[in-house]
Amino acid sequence: MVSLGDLPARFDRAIGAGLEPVAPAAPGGLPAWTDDDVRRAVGELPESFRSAVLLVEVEDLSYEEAAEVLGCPVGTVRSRLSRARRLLFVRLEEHARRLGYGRTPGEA
Amino acid sequence: MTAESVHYREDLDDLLDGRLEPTRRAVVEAHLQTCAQCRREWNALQRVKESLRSALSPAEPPPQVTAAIRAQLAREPLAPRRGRIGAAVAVGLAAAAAVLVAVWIGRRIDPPAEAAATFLHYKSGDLPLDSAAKEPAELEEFFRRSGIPFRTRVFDLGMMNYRLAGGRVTTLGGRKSAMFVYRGPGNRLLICEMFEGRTSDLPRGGSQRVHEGIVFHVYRDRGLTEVFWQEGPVTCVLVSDASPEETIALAYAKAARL
Repeated sequence: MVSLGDLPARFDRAIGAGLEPVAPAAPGGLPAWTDDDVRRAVGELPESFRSAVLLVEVEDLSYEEAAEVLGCPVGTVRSRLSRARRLLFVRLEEHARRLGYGRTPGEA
Repeated sequence: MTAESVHYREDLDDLLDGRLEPTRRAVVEAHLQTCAQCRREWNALQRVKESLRSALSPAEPPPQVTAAIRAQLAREPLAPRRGRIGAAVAVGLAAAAAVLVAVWIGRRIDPPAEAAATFLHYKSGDLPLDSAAKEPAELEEFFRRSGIPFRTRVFDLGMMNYRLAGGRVTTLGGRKSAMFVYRGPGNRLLICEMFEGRTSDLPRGGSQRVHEGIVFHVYRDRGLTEVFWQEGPVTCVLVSDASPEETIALAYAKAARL
């Protein structure tokens, strides 16, 4: 579980675990995150984050355009997007580790 | 995490999205050469961006929705220095965006995942309540005034040591949802949501229980227990971080009063 409050610390732990790239591809060459994993993770984002991600990453709107659509300041789009990306990374990374990809620190 | 890399955090997002001025961009790129922490963060952000592009291809949203957004934006060309667009256009854009999100994502996600996300969002302190009513009747009146299209039934769980903390209107399953919050023993959190929908549309992965002739659909997600049941045209769900059996018992107590 990742709440927004402890996100920075969880993100730092996820990227700081000495894995680079973080969740490497599976032995068979399949990526550790499937498209379904990503879609599910996007679906579970708080609604305001999800809207920012969809408009910028999928619709290719600029931050300014997304701000107009969402009726919020550009800085809000930027910070929501920034937090949403890190939240997605933490969730996808933790999901991949639960499935046995990568190694957690301290593991033999 | 060093203070220096904190400083570059949102710059990395700007770099990723091609938004940095050349001078700033050179600074950030030089920093990436020397700071392993920021480099890992940069790699992570690139992976997220690639994953999103791969998983959510632009061909997938309903084309008419995308077209509506594009048409609105085209009508009001966006320049970096322009002022606020007209209110009517902004409303149209917001409506188009809402449809995009509801239609496109709505068919991908499921009420259990959404209700869990709402629970965690509230628990993290990022989802304020719009009413702090502590009495069921008062909160029911708030939902009526807020345009919830069915009669809500906010229940009194005082006998089970759960106290009403308030409520707000949210969305669930693409519909307006009446959400209300209780605090229980040990500061445990219980959230109830009611929305127009059918439990028969819930995704697989839950288990079913029958109590006093009512079917309960139980899901476990990220340490939470969710219990759904049908009340006429309305689907009700209880979400809690209490134990599964305690959450189910609360649902039994509530639904049995029909």
